[in-house]
Parts: sequence; C-alpha cells; structure tokens
Amino acid sequence: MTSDDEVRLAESFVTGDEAALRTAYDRWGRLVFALGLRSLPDRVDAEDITQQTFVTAWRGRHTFDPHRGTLPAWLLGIARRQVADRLRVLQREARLQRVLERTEDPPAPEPSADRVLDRIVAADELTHLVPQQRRVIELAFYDDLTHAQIAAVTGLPLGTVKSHLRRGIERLRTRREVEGAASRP
Amino acid sequence: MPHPDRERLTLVALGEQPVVDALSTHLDQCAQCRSEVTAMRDTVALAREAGPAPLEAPPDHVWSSIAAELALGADPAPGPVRPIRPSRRRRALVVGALAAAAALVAAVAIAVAGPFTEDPPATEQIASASLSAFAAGPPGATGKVSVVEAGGERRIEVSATMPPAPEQGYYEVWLLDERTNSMVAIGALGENGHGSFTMPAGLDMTGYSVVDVSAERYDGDPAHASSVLRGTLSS
Repeated sequence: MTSDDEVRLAESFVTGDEAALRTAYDRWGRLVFALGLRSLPDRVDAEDITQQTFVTAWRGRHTFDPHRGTLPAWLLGIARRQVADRLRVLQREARLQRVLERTEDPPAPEPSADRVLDRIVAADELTHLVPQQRRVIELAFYDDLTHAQIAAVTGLPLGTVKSHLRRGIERLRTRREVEGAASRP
Repeated sequence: MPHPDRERLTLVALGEQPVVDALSTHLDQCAQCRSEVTAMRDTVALAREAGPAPLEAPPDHVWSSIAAELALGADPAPGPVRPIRPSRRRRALVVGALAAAAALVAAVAIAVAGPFTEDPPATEQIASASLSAFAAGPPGATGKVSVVEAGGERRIEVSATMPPAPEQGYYEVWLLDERTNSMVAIGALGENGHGSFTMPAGLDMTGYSVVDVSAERYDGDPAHASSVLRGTLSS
C-alpha cells in the first residue's frame, strides 16, 4: 500500500465507509493481534483487544486527525491502551491470587511494551520489502552472513547487496519512527 | 577521513568488522557516525528479536464479532484479490442487477398473466461432473457439479463431501482448460461444502471443461494453490 492509498483509506475511514474499516482490519489487524499475543498471556485476550481496538476506532473515527499521525499509528495507539488496561486487570487478579496462595515473588518482568510494539512493526515491515531485498536482509539478519557471503549465495553484485542492506534498514527505521513506540506522545 | 558512506556504516551496524583501519579510527573520533551506527544497530536488533516469521492474522471470528458489535450493514467479505475475475463488489452489483431484473420480469409476468401462472423459469441441466480426490486431496473426498441454465443465465452448482477447510483456509472452485493449462477462479465453497455460482459470461465451456477444487489459504496470494478435487464436465 502506497502512502497515497493510505491517505485515501484514512479519508474513507473517517467518513464512515465500512469497506474502509474492513480494509484497515485486513491490513493492520495482524499488527494489533500480534501486539496482543506478545503482550498478554492468553490468546483469547489478544483476540479480544483486537476486537475492542477496531470497535473503539470505528466509534471514535471522527477523532482521528491525519495531521497528527498515520492511521496505523493511531490504531496501534488505541491497541496499546487496550493492552495496558487489560494488563492492569490481570495484574490486579494476579496480586490477589498471590495473596490468596501466599506465594513469594512476582513473575519476572516482560520486555517493555514499547519494545514489543517496535518488534511487531519491524516484523511487519520486513514482509513489505520486495522479495530480493527481503531475501538479502534475512540472510544478513537471521543467517548472519556477511555482505560478501550474501553476494556469493544470491549471485547478486556486491554493490546491490550493500544497497539492499542500507535501504532495508532505513525502511525499518523510518517505519519505526512513524508507527513505533517513539511516535507516541 | 571524511564521513564514510552509509553503506559502510550499515555493514558495521550489522556486525561486520571494519576492514579499513581508517574507518575504525573515524568511528572512534566521530560522534555523529557512531550514533548513526548505534541507531542502525538497534533497528537490526529489533528485527532480529522479531524473527523472520510473518505476523499471524487474527482468526475469522474476530471480524465477525466486530461486525456484529458495530452492527455493520453490508459485510464486505474477506478474501484475497483475484485478478482474473471481477471484484466481489462488481459481482455483487452484477448479481444485484440480475436479481432486480429478474424481479422486474417476474412482476411483469405476474401482472400480465395473473398470479396463477407463477412458474419458476425452466431450469435445464447442460453439463455435469463427478469429482474425486486429486493429488493432496483428502482420501475418499467426492463431489458433484452441475451446470444449469435458467432464464438465459448459466450457473454452476458444486457440492463436495470432504473434511472442512483448515481454520486459516477455504476451498475455491476453478475451471481449468487443460489444453492451455489456464484457470479461471469461480468462487469459494461455503463451510457446508456447497456453492452456487454464476458462470462467467462468454466463458468457452468446451475448453474450460475441468472442474477443480483447491485448498487455499488467506495468504494474499491470488494464485491457485493445491488441488484437492477434480472432475471433467460432460453433457
């Protein structure tokens, strides 16, 4: 989806076009769901916050201001608040449980919510790279190959490999600045 | 040394050792390039933590719950884009227009002939096929197809007996022209294994004579996946 498509989608969304809600859900529902899956202990909770995020977004669509951020950033902001609310409830229940069972220490802290969100945004952006660039990035990130090894494996010129790596990382960085945790007030 | 180009800094961020001493020296001395490398390194670390697996889509019932809670009017059906056939919206318009036309014809017929000659339009079967398990299809899977013509419109009716599609997938009906190996997507079978579809107008049925049912996934890939049932139409 180009940024133009995204702007048009946001406009249709705000004016109450139900097809735009469906498109937004198809496009960003998995980001919201992933945030839930990685932040909450239970799958059902993740499904629930996905539902509540889109319901809340639709009911509050007139409050979306395209000048303050993109539609996905706004949706993820709503999702983060849903997750935070749910975690507070779960922690209260867990505290109560510990008091009842007289157990010792609270569980080890999870990775911060910001880090979880940024990881999800990175994972999603990787899937939007063109296949050749994605392949180069994955060989560097997950197979720990050097750029020379990647060139040998893929048959691409060294210069192409280096430029894929630079541009791929720049895209991940830009997307994180737009939609990641740091974009939040 | 001037600032090294970003591609060299990228390689440093990825963990490759700077081979040129001048680059190491520059990084020791230049805070700007160091912070650049640090930022890129953090981005790389994030992506490495995220792992290469694509994000999982929420299960279908989540959307149903959203649509129900918001009382959405038309439920824009989910599904991959299939370039070879008209969009669902367009098909809905066509079907809607046909339904409206049919209703009008029926109303006129009733007005002219009175309510006692309200026969449904004659339906004539013009071809049929038996489907059986194909390739990776579940053993014992079977199906029946009939192509019928009524009121100038051809419909293809498919009914399959096989295990339901996995949670993240569905069964799609195709017509295959074996001479050219080209396929036309017809539509998705319902969860009960039945489906009734409008035949694409003008489709050459002597060529597209093989009915194929494939198991598809909601992966955004419009191409035909793996066949599970197949059979040849005959009149």
